[in-house]
Amino acid sequence: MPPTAAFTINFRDFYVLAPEIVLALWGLVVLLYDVGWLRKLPNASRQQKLGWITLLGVFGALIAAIHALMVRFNLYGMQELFNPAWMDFDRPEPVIFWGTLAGDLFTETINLFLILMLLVAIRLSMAWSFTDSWGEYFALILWSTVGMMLLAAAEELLTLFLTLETMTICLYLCTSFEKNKRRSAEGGLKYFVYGSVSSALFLFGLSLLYGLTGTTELYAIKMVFTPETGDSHIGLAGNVSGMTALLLMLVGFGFKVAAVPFHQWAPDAYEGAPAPVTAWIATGSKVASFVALMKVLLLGLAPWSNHMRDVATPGWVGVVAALAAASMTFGNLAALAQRNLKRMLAYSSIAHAGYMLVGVAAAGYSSRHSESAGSVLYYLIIYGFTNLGAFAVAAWLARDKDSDDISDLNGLGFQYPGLAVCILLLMLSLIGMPPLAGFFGKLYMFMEALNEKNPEGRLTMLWLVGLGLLNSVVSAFYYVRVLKAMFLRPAEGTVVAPAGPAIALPIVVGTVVALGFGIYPAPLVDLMKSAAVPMLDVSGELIGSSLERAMWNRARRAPTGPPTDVKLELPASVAPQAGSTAPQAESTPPPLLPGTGKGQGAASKKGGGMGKGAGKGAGALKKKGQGKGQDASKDAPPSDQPKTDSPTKDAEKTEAPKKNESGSDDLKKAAPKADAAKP
Amino acid sequence: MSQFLAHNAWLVPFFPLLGSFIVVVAAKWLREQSHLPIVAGIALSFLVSFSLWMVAGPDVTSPAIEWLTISGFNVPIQFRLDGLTTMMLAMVTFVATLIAVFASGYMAGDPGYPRFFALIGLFVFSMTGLVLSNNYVLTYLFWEGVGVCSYMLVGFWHSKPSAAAAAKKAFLVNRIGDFGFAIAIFWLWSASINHDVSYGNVLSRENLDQLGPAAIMGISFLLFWGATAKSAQVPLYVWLPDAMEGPTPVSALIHAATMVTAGVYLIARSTPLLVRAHEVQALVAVIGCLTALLSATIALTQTDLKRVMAYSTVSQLGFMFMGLGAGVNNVAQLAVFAAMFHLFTHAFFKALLFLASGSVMHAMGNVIDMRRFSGLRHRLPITHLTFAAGGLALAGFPLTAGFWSKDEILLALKHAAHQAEPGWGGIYVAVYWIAVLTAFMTAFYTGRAYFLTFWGPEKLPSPQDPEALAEAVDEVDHGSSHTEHDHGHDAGHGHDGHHVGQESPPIMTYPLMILAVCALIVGLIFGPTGLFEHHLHLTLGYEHLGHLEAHGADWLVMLMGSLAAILGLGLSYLFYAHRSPIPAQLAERLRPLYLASYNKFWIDEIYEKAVVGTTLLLAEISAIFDMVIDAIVRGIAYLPRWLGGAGLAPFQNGLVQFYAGVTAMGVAFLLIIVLFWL
Repeated sequence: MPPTAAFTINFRDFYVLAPEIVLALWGLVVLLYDVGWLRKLPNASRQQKLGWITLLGVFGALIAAIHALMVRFNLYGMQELFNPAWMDFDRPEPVIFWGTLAGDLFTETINLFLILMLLVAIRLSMAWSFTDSWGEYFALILWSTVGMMLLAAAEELLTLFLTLETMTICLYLCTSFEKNKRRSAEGGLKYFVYGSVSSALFLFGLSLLYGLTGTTELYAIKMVFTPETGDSHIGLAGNVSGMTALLLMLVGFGFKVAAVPFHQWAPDAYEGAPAPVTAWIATGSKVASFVALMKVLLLGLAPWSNHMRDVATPGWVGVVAALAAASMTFGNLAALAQRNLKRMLAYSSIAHAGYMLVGVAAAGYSSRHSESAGSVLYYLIIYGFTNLGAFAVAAWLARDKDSDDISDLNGLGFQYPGLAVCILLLMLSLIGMPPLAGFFGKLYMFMEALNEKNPEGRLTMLWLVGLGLLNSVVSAFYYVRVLKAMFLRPAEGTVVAPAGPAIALPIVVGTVVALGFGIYPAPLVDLMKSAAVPMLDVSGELIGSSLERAMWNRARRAPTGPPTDVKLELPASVAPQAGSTAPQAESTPPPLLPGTGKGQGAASKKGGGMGKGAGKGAGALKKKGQGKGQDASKDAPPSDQPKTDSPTKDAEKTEAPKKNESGSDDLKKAAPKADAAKP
Repeated sequence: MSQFLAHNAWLVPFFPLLGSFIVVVAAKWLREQSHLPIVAGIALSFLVSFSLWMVAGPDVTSPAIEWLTISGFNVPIQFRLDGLTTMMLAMVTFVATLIAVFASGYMAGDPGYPRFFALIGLFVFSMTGLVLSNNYVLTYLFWEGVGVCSYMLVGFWHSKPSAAAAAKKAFLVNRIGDFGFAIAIFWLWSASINHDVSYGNVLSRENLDQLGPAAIMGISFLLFWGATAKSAQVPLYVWLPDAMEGPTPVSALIHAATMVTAGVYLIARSTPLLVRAHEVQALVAVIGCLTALLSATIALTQTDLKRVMAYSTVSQLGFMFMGLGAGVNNVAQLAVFAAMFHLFTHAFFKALLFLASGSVMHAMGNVIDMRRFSGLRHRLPITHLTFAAGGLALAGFPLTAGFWSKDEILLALKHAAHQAEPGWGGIYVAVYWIAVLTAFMTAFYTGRAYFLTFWGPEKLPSPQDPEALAEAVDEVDHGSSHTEHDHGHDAGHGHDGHHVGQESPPIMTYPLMILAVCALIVGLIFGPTGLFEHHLHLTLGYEHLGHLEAHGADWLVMLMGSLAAILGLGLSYLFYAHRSPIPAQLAERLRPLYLASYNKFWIDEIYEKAVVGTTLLLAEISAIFDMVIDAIVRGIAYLPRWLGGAGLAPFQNGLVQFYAGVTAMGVAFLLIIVLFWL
């Protein structure tokens, strides 16, 4: 039964997507500018000009991203200032474009950090002339970023796949842009072939999942798999089709985040690609892919995570834990043997993916989902900025020495002590030395992993964390090798030229991030933890349509009970198509779905918690009640049942009875409780 | 207004930090003006501290800034502005301002001039942070900070081997204490409500009530352990006399007035906890008493003026701990007030005495051995008078600062003897009488130092002195090649047109005069008027401490204290003012005792043999064992590299079809594992 809900596109949807739209259009502008005005110019000056123009567009996107956050937190009275009638800001946490993309605190945060990283990466690209197709290069980088941002926002599997491909295809092309180098082309080709295979497998996994559930929306998938009674963590025991779907999807994600055993493209592609592209593959695409991975696993496939809260049970937590262990160990051991800086960083980024997978496994297994996921996000951001700095070092070598062996760094510490100290701090942060941000990233993530009191899985997590710590020790060896080259070896051969702003910028930015968020990690951790809340939930708006489908599908799978019965039992407030009115809803039996109240609680929590005040929380319910008509809810007598007692914005305007408002307060109070009651 | 001030308490540590930052950044341009940012910074922070004195209250805190939050462990940056803290703040910043001014004259011409002031700024930052912190972890952090500053300042002339050794000793001995403090924090964290180690929570009544007796005793003991190292108590006092190798202003600021009182502060801060463990309190009193007696005995025979002062500092710290230890039952309030009041007055007169010694040293061309100069009262009139003022206060001469505070401690001890748990009173009786004896000795050695330096026939140091020659031989024996630092303490001193035997410049004498006035009257202003007691009453948890119904002045105790001071000073006048032969005869008569005191009871040597020797032996044994470990470690370390190189290389063969195969195998393998093994 297809949803009949009237999702309409309004201007707000485009506003939410503003950064992406700016970047996508700016890619075209850059392309046209290149073939138009700049055609006659020599390569180097074309590069510089185009680079600055690209940066201009990125600044535009940055402003859009910052503006969105400013409106959310109502800085400088932005909300009042920027609230024309056609903008419809009353709609909270919009799930835009028919529920395919999210536009909440989480996406805004990720957009901001992705754009900041993009800024650094583009500035790094202007360091030296490694290609002559600059228009295409910058446009592809911009479009790949659009892919990343949409990927992070995707709430639905098909969108997720499409954006994943948008991102990856752009990156395939970028990899082989250094046209006078055989390695570049080879790396690009391998990346492409390997990526295509894994995409195919991923798509296969998606189709299996669709076959199992009949929906592609993450929240609906979760609802279908959630059993009506008992522990919602059912795992995958004996479920061969589910397991196959899961593993096939993990191939796709494993490829993107470079987790063992799907990592093998990484060293070749990283080494072959021009250093700025490598930096962007290793940071931006990894951030976006991890976010998508977490969304799918922690939201859509949450019921499959494990069985009876144990790690080593059939379920994705066990698989992810195995991948994490393998990635950490393999990445670090392989990095030990590397002499090439980029290859070394490639293996180390495999190892970092392993650490983060520990965090993902912990988030799936522990009851503190959002805190755990927030700690992974914190690690991701820190990892992104420090790694950009590390790859800038590789770019420096590639520019001046035309090779990027670690031994090429010999004597750098004596020539450029300032930047060398910055690199020192970057490497120490990547090792995880206190008081740098890398240390706190690991600390938060591993502490969350150990936080679960449940005795069964705890031992496994302890082993995993222990392995992670052991691997950190191993990783110190190869990072320190870089430092040894810089500070203990005399310079030999050609001297590296001064870095210049293009290369110094990523190094300095990385150092500032590593040092600043190391000494004072609280603000970023807080931001990430609150951003993780909307990431792991879908706002109320989507629930209506997908829920119904989910119900229908589950009923179809269930041995008893025709689908129609189930549909009738839907609580009115979440089933806009049911045509029921509020008084009727009062008389309906308690909600059938354990997740219904949950979803509502989360929705109103988001509205209330993000600093927007009561208007939002009320608005969330208003939207939900759209289908059944607002008048009904307005006229409904105030009752104790928070679900039906939803004072809308309009109601407040027309001076609703006092009790109505207190009802909304009750609702807000009840919301965290409902959330806390989550298993 | 008060809220505004409390919100801006961060300015107190901030100004000195900013000053030292400016010095570090602009050292190249500031050079000889490097003291300006520091003096200005500390003076500003004194102004803020002074205004904070007005807003103090038991529960006044600055807003918490979230800093470290790791699931279940939360350390915010938050400052507490109660009576104890504001008192310490005002004292620290006031003394530090004067000492910084003094140092700008004293250190002039030193090549490390900017470094010195940068470190002083950093020290004041850490010290104010220490007393401001509102939880044990932050206190610990700053506790380490002052330790590091002390280490760097003791070893300021690091090319001189004795200074480097002293710095190392100070640092290592302090580590032993820090260990105890750290364990105390761990214990507090695990035992306290909500795992919250802020003072407000730990020292609250409900938390103290729920702590078991073992936790109360253990934590109190560990805190005191931490305090013994920082505040130089037996058995960890040995670092402080050696720390006099640092520049004299450092000795005055860090090793007399402020940092060494951090341990006393910690115990005073934790008094609500400590009063519940009367065994530990008795231990505190006994250790304090032992320290006071031992170091006073050593101070009797030392010939190095600064060393006399150093041992006297140790001894006075012992007095403070005696006071803290006396806080049994109803005496608790009186005892902690007495100890903190002594801390307060001691800061003024001891800083003064050190600075005056520094002024003597400055005038004598860096000679500090009292055998090499005498009769300086005419040449150094200001130094002479100010030293006399400080000496009177230290000796506890009636109506000077030291008199009032020492009297309070004696009073507290006397009450403690009556109020202690049954069976424990005897300890306090003994402590009381030893304290009186120590007060007498204090007066005696203070008088001795004063009369030896400023009275008698006028004599200036000359290179032909037997002591100077012996020292020179010593240097050669030690193979020291640092001739540019000869045997004196300062390089670069005396090269700025300053002649031996002249009074110090005004920039050094003005701080002396201000401190001298303080040393004389600060006790009178704050003691009998109840001003100090009233202010300290505004401290967290102090209102619940037991207090006596009414305690007026106890004339007997006052008489005791005055008698001890006057007798000691009189005796020293007889012995040293006109160079009587009695001391020499006495020394001959009591030769073993004299030698023991002169050689500091060989404590250093005993430690050298027993502790350092044992440690080194252990290290030797470990070194042999280490070779075995090394071989194993190397073997293990080789394994990953071999694995990474030879073991994993074949998998990365560059063939993309092989990669696809590995992926497929991986999926299949995972599927099998999940379906059949898990």
